[in-house]
Amino acid sequence: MNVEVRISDLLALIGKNLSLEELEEHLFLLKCEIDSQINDVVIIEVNPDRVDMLSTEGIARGLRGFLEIETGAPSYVVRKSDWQAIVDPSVAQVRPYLACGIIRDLQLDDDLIAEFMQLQERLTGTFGRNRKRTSIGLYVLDLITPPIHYRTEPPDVIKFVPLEFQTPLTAKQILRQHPKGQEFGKIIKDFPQYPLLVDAENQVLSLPPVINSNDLGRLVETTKDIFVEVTGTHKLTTIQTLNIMITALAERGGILEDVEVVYPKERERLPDLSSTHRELSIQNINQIIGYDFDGTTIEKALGRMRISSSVHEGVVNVEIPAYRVDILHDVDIVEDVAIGFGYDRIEATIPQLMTIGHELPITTMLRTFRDLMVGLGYQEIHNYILTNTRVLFEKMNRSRKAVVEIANPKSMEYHIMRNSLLPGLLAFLGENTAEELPHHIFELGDVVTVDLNAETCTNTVPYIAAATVNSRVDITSLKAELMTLLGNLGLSAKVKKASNVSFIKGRVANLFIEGQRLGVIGEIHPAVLQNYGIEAPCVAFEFEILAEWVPIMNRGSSRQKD
Amino acid sequence: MKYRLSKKARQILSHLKTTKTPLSSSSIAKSLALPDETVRSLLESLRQQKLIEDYETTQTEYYQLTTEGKQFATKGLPEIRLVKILTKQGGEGSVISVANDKTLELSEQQLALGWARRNGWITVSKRDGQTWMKLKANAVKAVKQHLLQRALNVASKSGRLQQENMSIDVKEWTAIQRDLIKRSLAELVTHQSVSVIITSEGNQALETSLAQKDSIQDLSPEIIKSEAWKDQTFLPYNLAAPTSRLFPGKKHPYIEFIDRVKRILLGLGFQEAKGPLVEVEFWNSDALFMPQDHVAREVHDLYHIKNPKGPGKIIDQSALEHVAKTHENGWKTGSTGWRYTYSFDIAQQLVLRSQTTAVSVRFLSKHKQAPLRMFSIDRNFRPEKFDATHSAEFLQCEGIIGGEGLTLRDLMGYLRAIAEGVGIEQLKFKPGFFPFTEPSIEGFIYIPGLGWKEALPGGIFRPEVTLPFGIDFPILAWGIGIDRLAMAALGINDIRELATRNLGWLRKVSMRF
Repeated sequence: MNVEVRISDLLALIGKNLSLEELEEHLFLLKCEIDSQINDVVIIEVNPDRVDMLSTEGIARGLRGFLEIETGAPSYVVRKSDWQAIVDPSVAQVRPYLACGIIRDLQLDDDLIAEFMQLQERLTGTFGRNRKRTSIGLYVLDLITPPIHYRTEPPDVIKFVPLEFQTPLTAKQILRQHPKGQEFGKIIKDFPQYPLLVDAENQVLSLPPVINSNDLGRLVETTKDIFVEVTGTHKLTTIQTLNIMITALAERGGILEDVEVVYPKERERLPDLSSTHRELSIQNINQIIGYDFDGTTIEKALGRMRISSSVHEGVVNVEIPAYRVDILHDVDIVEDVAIGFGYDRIEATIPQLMTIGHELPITTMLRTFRDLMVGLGYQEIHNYILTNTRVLFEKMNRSRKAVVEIANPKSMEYHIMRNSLLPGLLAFLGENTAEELPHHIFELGDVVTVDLNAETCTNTVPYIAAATVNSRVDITSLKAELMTLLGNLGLSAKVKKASNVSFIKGRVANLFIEGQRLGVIGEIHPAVLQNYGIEAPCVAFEFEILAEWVPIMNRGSSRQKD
Repeated sequence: MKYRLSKKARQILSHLKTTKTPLSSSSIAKSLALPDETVRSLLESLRQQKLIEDYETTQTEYYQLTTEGKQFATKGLPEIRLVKILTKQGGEGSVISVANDKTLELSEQQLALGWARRNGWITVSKRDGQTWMKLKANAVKAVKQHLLQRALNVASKSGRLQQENMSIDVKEWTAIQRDLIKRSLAELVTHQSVSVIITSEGNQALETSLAQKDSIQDLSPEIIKSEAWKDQTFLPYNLAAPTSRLFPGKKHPYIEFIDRVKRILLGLGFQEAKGPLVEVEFWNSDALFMPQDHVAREVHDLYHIKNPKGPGKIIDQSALEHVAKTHENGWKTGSTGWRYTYSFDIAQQLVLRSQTTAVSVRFLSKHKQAPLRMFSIDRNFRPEKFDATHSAEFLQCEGIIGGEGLTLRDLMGYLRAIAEGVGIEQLKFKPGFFPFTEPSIEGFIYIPGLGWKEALPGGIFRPEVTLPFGIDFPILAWGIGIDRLAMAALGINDIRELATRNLGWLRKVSMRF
């Protein structure tokens, strides 16, 4: 996830002057990377677990710890207010949760407003699952009259001026006409009533998670006090989203105030920025990292990661700030100890561990196939498994069979999986007509067949196919090569006359290996040659390779059958 | 110096002598009914002996259509097809009405719209949230006379395209050339041909050679047996002369590179594993502790499957139960879990495998004894457009190491050993993030000219991944950006070239890497 940051702004927040190289080095060790830089602006790539760092404020907060300017969990004071937000039971089926907070006395400018918008977008894009799970709104506090009401209303009754628009639209019109409506409308479209936030005087704040009001939700440089609101479908995530958003704002100064969110059966004062506690043993930490760290080292390392801790008798008590939503397990704390200690300072070790390397028996057998084909003078080629019906069926003059088909292809060139290698070989030959003859090519690779009884309703199976193009070709010499190949692998083979529309009638046969019908050999029909753009005659074979042949090979390679 | 000429060399010299005009190798080959390749190599040998000399080098340049160019020659350029569709639809159509006409694929529509607008054939407007395209008055006529289409047709018919066979002026020709290259419809091919004449030494050699009849050219079983060689001399061959190109059977360099990496890993004690290319989401993501509503599981990051519809089966029912509970509340793993209601329907949905880590977890579900080392190199799929740096189908190389007491420091040690094994010398680590490992590492390798590049991800599997399968010892997981390594080794800078469509390149490419 990329965050756009002004270097001057970042350094001002950190409170220390750093060169770009120093900044890059520290960020690197803190899980971030500088992606690119243009003048004062850098794009910083933040790992997706650290959603609290998706802003200049969050990155500065992390770096202040890492540089030991300010270590341990930051403390945020939240004043009590008499603001209320009342949640109506009607939202329970649509988007049940609400979290709100207030921040006063901020000094805004256009850059800062853009910065807040960026955090809001990034946060709801990742952590908020593209606004499905949570979405955020910021409003000019002075324009709102408490209490706030969160309820649902019919789409054609809801009417207000959405952000970036001049005239009022109904919710129905917003979903159709507003860019955000087109993008996020699908989240609420199918509900009979849409969620809505209004104030005591019935002014609309927002149609969450789609768009806010242009009247109340447009921050300007003179705005000092901001009302922050998060709605969502998952309670914990809703509260955590507010924590991340409002602590980022608080990094710019200002005074935090709470809002009482009133549900039909319970009420809570938010934001609740108290830390969470967790206990883990020094032994556990050391077992995972591989050092004998003492308590002081661990406390110091965690402090640099903005986590406060104290160690008593081998047990580490940690205090995790309310914006750290990535801590699910003790191992997440252990990683912070390692990062705080410094990945560049950790020395690598290699333990003795006795295991024996071996490849899959089928890999060994497939290599033998390849070696023999090369010995017979064939050039190996490598095609994609993804293909299209034109190449796989239509040009072969074959009727379409059931194959694996992708529901969301990026391009119709690649929307199904091959169930045969030969079409790919012919397509390749058709693209190389300018290359000097003869062409001898083969491919050995997986195809995917549909099998509704299989675990994944499909089987991934290895196939081999070979083709020769020359001004004159000879099906009997190809058959001789095929029999030589199989004979050298100790496999018995027979061919039986067959009919196959891709080949010339009377010059095609089915191939039986170890008694099973597994493939085909023949001379390609001129109509098919034309379809692929091949300008000279072509003979080819193809067959499935069975894993069960492995033991036959292992019994002895000298055995040849005819 | 005495000249000994082969029969074919003699044929060529006397042909040059009788025609008395400079001839190119292809015209000699044609007149004498000899293969091009043979004539070229004989001429080279004669040239070295100064029996012939170059008269004139002519260079011709022409355009040859690419695959896409050939396609558009038959089907028509997308913008032209768009105009035809719009004409059919009464001069105006929306993105949707145009998409309903099967002659223009959805993927081509944007391109068609762009060019048609640039050519001034249509106007575009937004109405009711839809994009509408309207034909301008001149469009139908302009399309009929469209030079680029004519160029494609000419090129497709005659196999090559030059200004001469278009009868247009320089300005128009320049514009066509620009469009052909910009849109990758054709590439410029330079063909060189040299005409030769016979020298006075050549004339002399020819006479001398005609006089010698008794030297042996090809030694035969009969000559050996009859001992006729005792009374005759052998026609000497010029071994210094350049030889013709041969095309041996060769392995594909990319697959061969992968095979070498496999052998290195075998040497490091890893055993190979493989899994299905079509997976159920359970193995592809759930078992890796990726929540079911994770953004990386949406349609832009994962190929979902229309046919077969599924659902697939999850045979290990107890693992399924444990994974479900781990997602919901952490189960017995010490985790809080993701705190949502796990869906067994999503778990059974079919997708194209998007990461080889699915193979690692499948392996762990069957191998629960320490110590273990496993690797897999296989194909994976993600919804990407194919371009120089993106591929919807790519290989990943991944492995795991399991054993009592393994640590983060050990993981760094193994990553170094694996990197050294495949020839990487400079390596540095930063903390990384993967949903299924904690702590996680990102190994950066130094590639001269490119700088530090992410190439060796790794980490220790989260307890939420291992404990549901009953594994209570640490599992170190690692990967190698194998396609990037292969590209560096093969000197390729377009990822699509790993599955090259160019037989000439395969025939030429060096197997030394």
